[in-house]
Amino acid sequence: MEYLSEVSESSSSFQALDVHPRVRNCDQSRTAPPPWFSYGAGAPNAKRLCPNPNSDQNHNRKEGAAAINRFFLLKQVPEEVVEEILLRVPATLSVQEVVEEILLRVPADSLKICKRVCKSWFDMINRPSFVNKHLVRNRVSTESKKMTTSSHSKSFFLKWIREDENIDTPPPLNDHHHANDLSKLELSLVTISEEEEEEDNDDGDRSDHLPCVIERVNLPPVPAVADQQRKPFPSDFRVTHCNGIIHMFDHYRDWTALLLNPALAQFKLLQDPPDLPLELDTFIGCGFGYDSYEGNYLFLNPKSVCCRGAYYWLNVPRTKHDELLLDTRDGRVVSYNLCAERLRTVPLPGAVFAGFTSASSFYFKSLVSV
Amino acid sequence: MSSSSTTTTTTRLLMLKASDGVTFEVEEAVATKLGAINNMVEEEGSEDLICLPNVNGKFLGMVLEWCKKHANNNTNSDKGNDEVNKWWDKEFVMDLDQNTLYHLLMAADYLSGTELVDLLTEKVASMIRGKKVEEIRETFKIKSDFLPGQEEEIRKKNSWAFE
Repeated sequence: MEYLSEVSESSSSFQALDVHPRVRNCDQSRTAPPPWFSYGAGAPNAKRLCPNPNSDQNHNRKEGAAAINRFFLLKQVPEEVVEEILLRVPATLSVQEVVEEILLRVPADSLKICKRVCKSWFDMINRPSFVNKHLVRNRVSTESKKMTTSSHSKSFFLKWIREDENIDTPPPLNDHHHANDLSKLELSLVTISEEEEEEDNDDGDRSDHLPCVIERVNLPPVPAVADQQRKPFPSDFRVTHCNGIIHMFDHYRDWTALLLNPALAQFKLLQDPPDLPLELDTFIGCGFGYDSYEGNYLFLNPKSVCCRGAYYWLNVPRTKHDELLLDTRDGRVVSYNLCAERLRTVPLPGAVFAGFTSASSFYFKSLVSV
Repeated sequence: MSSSSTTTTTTRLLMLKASDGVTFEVEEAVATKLGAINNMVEEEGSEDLICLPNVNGKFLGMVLEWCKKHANNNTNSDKGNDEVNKWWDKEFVMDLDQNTLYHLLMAADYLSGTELVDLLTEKVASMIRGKKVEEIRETFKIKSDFLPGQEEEIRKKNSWAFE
């Protein structure tokens, strides 16, 4: 630390009269009006941050009181007045605010666990303001990464139907009975890593597999719900998503819709999505979106919403090249790279039933409760 | 420690006094990496002594060390600066024990050293990620204050299990 000259406390002239006015200036730099004026009150977040709460606080307090007395030309200022002045000297953020800053940097699936650590964490993570901050933070960081670096991995969300493995003749294409069997439905979160891909090329080993990580999104036991309600769910449904919440929508029967949050492992069955003009969307499906002004999740008809999810064959937009995903009749999902004109298999854990695969980009895992 | 006379006179020097009376002399360009100091310098101009009654000398020293490194790296060359800073930041937080990390974070926060707060909170967050409940409690010495059964209730709520 040669650059730091530590000067011993040579004279008391360092004890400037205006110790506290300086401190106050220092804290005015904070943008928000300091709510921590309720110094020492019983509020849970009134705990002061101070490098060493026990000794330094007292030391500061004494020093502060002395400075105030000097400021008033050594007239003994009554204790209450000193107290009052010290109250006006905001020290720092509360511990809680720093804890919040930390937890905002923890991904949603870990936060699910953090909720169980203690009550104060539980309360903080459940607070809508926290959820929104977490959402904004993650969206910004994911999108900026996507835009600035070409080597960033890219995730998308894939819905596919598992093919029976011990079947001799594959069922006819678009067999709805087979496709309606929810136990065969698989949802996967696929993350393609571009870096791995480049390494792959260097080795000259042109692998048949798309370099990617596949995470299974577990489905809740919805059929049990459906039986209970006497509504078979779902038959052939659309999947979209928004802010990490998956929206499954049965567009043939009863407008049954299901919201899933794979990060929190929560789901909610919606039986009467509100205000849908029937004639509009019998075959188009239904949009699901986030109203960033109101902070609400909405069902909207397709003409008024631009939802990030799509139910088409997937075109994963990437910086260098596009991958086109297709399911094949021999039970695979293949990825066709338009730039390299290269066909590779997405190594899904099971055979794929052709005709019902859909995918959409999936930016991050969300904390939002459904 | 070298005396203050050895530093060059081309840049202005500020005196920062910590809570335990330890005083640091630093170049203005370094100290103003901290939002709080920057504000004071802009507002008050000529004053050279700044008292920081909420920061202990040990941690103020570390904060200033960080500022110094970043101020230097930013003026040297343009290329590879980010990498240098990143590498240095990684080294900086690598071996911090929890106690130091806590006090350093509080000091950085108090001094509005936004980038440093970012770095440190990120470090703490990395200590939480991917851990089990018990491990988190163990790491941060947190005692569960849930009533018996409450925790189990939350756990159940967070699973697909449906009755």
